[in-house]
Amino acid sequence: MKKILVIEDNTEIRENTVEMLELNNYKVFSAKNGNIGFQLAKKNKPDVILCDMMMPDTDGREFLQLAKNHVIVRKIPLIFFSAGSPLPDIKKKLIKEADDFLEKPFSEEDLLHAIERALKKQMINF
Amino acid sequence: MQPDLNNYKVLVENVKDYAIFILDTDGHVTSWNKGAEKIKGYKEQEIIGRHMSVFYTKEDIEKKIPEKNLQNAKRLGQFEDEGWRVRKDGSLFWASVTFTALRDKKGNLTGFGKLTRDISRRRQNEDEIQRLNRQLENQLQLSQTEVLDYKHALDESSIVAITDQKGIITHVNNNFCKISKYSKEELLGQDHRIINSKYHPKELIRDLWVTIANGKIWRGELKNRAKDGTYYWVDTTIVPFINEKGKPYQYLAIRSDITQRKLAEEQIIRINQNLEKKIKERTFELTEALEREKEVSDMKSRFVSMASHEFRTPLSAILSSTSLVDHYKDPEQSEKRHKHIERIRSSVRNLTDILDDFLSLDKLEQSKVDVNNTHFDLHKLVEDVTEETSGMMKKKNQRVNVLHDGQGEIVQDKKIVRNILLNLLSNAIKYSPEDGEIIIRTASKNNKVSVSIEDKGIGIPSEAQKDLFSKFFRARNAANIQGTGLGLNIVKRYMELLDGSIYFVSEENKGSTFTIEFAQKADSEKQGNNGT
Repeated sequence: MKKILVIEDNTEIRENTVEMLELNNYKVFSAKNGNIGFQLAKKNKPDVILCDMMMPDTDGREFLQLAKNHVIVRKIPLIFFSAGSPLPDIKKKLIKEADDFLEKPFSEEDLLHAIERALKKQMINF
Repeated sequence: MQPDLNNYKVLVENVKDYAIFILDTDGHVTSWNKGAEKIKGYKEQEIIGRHMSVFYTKEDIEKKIPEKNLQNAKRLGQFEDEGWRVRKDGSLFWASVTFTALRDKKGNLTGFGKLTRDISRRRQNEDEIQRLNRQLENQLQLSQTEVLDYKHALDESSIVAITDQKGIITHVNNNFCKISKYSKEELLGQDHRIINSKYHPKELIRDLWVTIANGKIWRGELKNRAKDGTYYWVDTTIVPFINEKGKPYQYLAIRSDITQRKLAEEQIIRINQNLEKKIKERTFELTEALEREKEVSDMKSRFVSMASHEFRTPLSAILSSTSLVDHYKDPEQSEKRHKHIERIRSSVRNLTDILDDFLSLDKLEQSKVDVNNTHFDLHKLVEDVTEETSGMMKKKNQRVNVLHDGQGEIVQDKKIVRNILLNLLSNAIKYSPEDGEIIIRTASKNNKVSVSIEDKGIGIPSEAQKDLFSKFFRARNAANIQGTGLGLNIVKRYMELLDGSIYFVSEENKGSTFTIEFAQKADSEKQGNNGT
């Protein structure tokens, strides 16, 4: 079973995302900020990480910094999601460093497609 | 002592500058000296015995001048004559001649002594002097005419004044009187400053005097004041007249009227200044308009990014919950279904709240909010609002502590006060950590009521405090927290409607306390007013 890490501060969205992934047979871990997410990523070595960009504590940008400096975590495909559109330039840059981007609101189908694309990439990466 | 005649003879014969010779009674030459030879060109042997008329011009001979000369000398004893004489070579010279009648002891005429001087040079000099004099006289006359012509031309064309070295007017022409509107009598003997307009800076006037006092010509444009107080402009040339010591003893001022030109110039300057002013005003207006537009545009982009985020988050929850409801079709999964349906409801409420904020703001901005004052219990209202937000608080395990001081009966618009309290309390919950405590204090004193809401949340960074009530403004540390940036702007506008005030004390990472203050009993005149 593939492991997915969901990092999202909004409770409803976090819980709903976890629920959708679990219903589609993924093992899911979740965190409400980047820092906790990073600890989970190091510990559980997920196959894909989904991360919100705007979070009150450690946000997407800070998580990316942490991930890039970690020998294992930096290889895990990262999907950002964000509710901000139009996107400011700073976010566009950030997205380029990630593997994929999901714009809120996203459907279950969008989510699953993104995960599958990321998993294929992960297979190439390893 | 007897004179030695021989000695005389030698002396006479050797005189070179005078022709001295003797004629017989008829006028024939009987003796000749060296001077005669030199002046007349004849040698002694050539001339002795010849008649003296050979020395005369044809005209004089025809007029019998030689005979007349001899007769005069005979009659008078001595006779002097001046006239043209002819040399041997035929050339003429101007001669001064003296005839002396010679007589013997008895008084009988024995002949004539003749002394002739060549005074051609003297005559020439005299002629030259006369010619020069005539020429000078002509020239002087010409010059005088010319000077008069110049003066006339100058008087016709220019405004002329002469002052002494102190600036006292000694001469003015008609043009001067005409333009200055003073009569000659009024001007003569007056200080030239009589026409000073005081328009020019002192430096310019000083420069003028220094220039002319040093014997130099000054040129410039001056504004003068006429007798009737009007002003005129003159193009001015002041020429100093220098005495033999090199000092100016009087000044000649030649002016021409340039008032029309100056007026035109002044008008152009005025028009330019007006134009410049207008341009500045327009530029200012444009800049302001641009700034306003930029503000509006900034506001718009802030609105777009805020709205996008604020709408997309609940929409996200709705979309995913809808999708999950589809997964739970079995009757035993009804609990999960309900959870998601509730989530959808809550998100829709959330969206409605945002919309309500927009609508409230729009109404406030257009002054369309009516104030309807009623009697109500503020303490009860605070508790109701606290109850309303308990759901939010429960999620974060927060507690609220309400403390009342004084009585709660007030006359105000209940709906507005409720909105204000709801807004401030929601903020306190939103920006406070989990397990945080919120304290609400009410107080009433001297017809004043206050409510303060204290949290121990993220606080407001000091640099953000001045902008906190601006529309769409979000502090740096709130950027990743959901919010429209409208709430406090709405609260502030509501407080204005209540004639109340709002202030806050806050420190980043320590928490904030917002306090509102308003009258316990609102002004009854305000009732039903639309709150402008």
